[in-house]
Amino acid sequence: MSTDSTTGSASARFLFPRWANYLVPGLVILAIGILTYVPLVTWLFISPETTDVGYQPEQPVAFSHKLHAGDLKLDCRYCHSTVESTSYAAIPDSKTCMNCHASIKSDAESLRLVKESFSTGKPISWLKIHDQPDFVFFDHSAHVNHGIGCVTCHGRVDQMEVVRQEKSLSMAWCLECHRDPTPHLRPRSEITNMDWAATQINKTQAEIAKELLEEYQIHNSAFLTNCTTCHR
Amino acid sequence: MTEYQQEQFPIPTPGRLRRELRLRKPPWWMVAGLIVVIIGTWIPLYLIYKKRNSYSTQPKIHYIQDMDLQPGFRAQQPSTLFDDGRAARAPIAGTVARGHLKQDDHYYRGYHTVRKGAAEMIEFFDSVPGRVKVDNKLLARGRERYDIFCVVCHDSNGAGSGLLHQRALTLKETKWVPPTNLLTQEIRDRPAGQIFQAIGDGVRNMPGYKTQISVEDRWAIVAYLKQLQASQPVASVEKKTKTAK
Ligand code: HEC
Ligand code: HEC
Ligand code: HEC
Ligand code: HEC
Ligand code: HEC
Ligand code: HEC
Repeated sequence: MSTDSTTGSASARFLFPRWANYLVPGLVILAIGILTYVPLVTWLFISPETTDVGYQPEQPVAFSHKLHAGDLKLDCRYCHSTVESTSYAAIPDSKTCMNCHASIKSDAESLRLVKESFSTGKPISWLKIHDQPDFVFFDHSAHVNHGIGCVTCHGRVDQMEVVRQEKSLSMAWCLECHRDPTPHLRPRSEITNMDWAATQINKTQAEIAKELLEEYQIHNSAFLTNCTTCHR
Repeated sequence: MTEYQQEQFPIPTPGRLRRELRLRKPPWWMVAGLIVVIIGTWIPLYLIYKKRNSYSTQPKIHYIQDMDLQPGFRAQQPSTLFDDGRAARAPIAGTVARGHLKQDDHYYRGYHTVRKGAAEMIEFFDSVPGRVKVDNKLLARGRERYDIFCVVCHDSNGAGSGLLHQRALTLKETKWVPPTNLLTQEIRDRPAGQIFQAIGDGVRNMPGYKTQISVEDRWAIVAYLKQLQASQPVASVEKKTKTAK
């Protein structure tokens, strides 16, 4: 640009170089770009799909659902025994583990903490993976007893070596189902069945949902999407 | 001023064209900067893509705290206030909550102690208590509970070779005691109360399920087990040696 400035004459004026003609359209394009890019990236960045999903902490004991729930076919309720009766799905005490581990792998190093906890009464500090904000009211029994299976909200836990959060658990996610739970309903007896499908009993999901909506007397979406249902 | 700028309609000689085109281009550092910025915009997108497609051992960051983490305690949360680290407290020893006296021996324990002369004897009740109505609903419940809690060891037919038993054999566990075959005449003759008590408190090498199964459900299992035994042929009395293979 310095080459463009005049040499000598006092009437030295600044002349825009000719590429400056692109400047205005260029800036308009840039502004549009920034105005779409920044909100897009912010939205993607803070969306629970990015921040919450995939949380898979390392637990104090290398407990494997794949082995216990998958290979041994233990029912979820053997350990999470309060899931049908209370809002909270209890993490089992070490007595539950000792039911089997008193005689199986009783000397394994990986189970040292469990045995210690069993004999001293000090609980194992498992890390909480699915963690709803404290201002949200969530109730397992309401869902499990009305035909929503574990797999719908937790994914294939029986195939996970280490549990991770599969779903965002955001308000939008809850509401999506509360507006219309029909695609997710199943008979109460299949709640913990991880690969249940309506086709297994030769019916379509729509038929089953219609029966179950009636049988379980599931509230209408006006009730289920009311703020006080989940914020009380 | 350069010559060509003064000319209104310069003849586009190749030399002039070249100069013209060069000058229409912004300086190189601007072009380079633009390219860097454009490539740079993909970095956050890539990081987000990566985060979405991998697992993280770090808990989520609460960008906006709101009231996400309130000081009150929720179920099974830890507390630094008490020695055992639990926020939930057990009832004080020797106290009974209203309505939890559990006086009904038959229903809550399945046995009662009777005095025979000087000695105290345990006597099992031989029936399901009257409070429990044995109907199809109860049997279905019992079946469901049996499938949850007992099948791993006793198998769905009660013969005792559940998946856990098979696993223990392949692992060659020396401490493993095979689960009792529930179809033998010996177990069929057991009073209902004794089976109820066995489920709750355990017997010898079988763990007790008091903490996992409620009283109603334990009776449901007993009722179902009686039905299961009736539906299966009596197993021959094999004298089980109490050592694992
Ligand atoms: C042998 C006992 C056992 C069985 C059976 C079992 N779990 Fe678990 N589960 C645990 C323990 C212990 C933890 C805590 C440690 C961990 O996260 O791995 C846990 C954790 C979980 C969590 C994460 C809880 C959190 O902190 O957010 C979920 C979800 C879960 N289990 C679902 C299931 C489902 C679904 C099944 C049935 C397919 C099942 N579990 C069967 C013992 C069991
Ligand atoms: C129904 C019986 C059963 C229960 C209940 C159970 N486990 Fe296990 N667990 C097993 C069996 C069987 C194995 C061995 C499988 C193998 O290695 O083939 C095992 C293996 C393990 C191992 C791996 C041991 C090693 O080093 O190979 C860990 C760790 C473990 N269990 C933790 C737990 C915890 C923690 C609990 C309580 C929440 C629990 N288990 C409850 C049956 C059980
Ligand atoms: C409607 C969706 C839904 C269904 C169905 C569901 N869960 Fe959950 N689960 C959740 C949510 C949401 C949380 C987090 C709750 C919280 O932090 O308060 C959770 C938490 C848990 C936890 C951690 C302890 C707790 O309660 O916070 C365990 C264990 C668990 N679920 C197991 C199960 C099992 C086993 C089943 C099936 C019998 C099941 N869940 C069915 C949504 C569901
Ligand atoms: C897959 C479907 C599904 C998802 C996902 C789901 N729910 Fe539900 N929810 C239901 C159904 C079905 C009911 C039973 C309705 C009834 O009681 O009539 C229910 C009932 C409830 C109730 C009890 C209402 C009452 O008082 O009877 C609460 C509270 C609730 N849900 C909260 C939540 C929250 C919070 C989430 C998100 C973390 C969530 N739900 C996610 C299907 C779902
Ligand atoms: C189906 C259950 C459900 C219903 C109905 C519901 N919410 Fe929520 N809400 C949630 C859950 C779950 C969260 C927490 C999401 C998260 O941050 O993980 C939440 C979070 C919020 C937040 C905090 C948002 C934030 O990011 O901190 C506000 C505000 C809110 N809800 C308002 C409302 C209002 C207003 C209504 C009624 C129109 C409503 N909610 C109905 C489940 C529900
Ligand atoms: C962890 C494996 C395991 C589970 C789960 C289990 N049992 Fe057992 N059970 C055993 C073993 C081992 C014995 C043999 C105990 C002995 O003789 O040392 C036994 C014995 C018994 C007996 C015979 C008791 C007697 O008086 O001789 C009955 C009845 C019984 N179990 C019922 C049940 C019922 C009902 C359930 C489900 C609630 C159940 N068991 C769950 C392992 C198990």
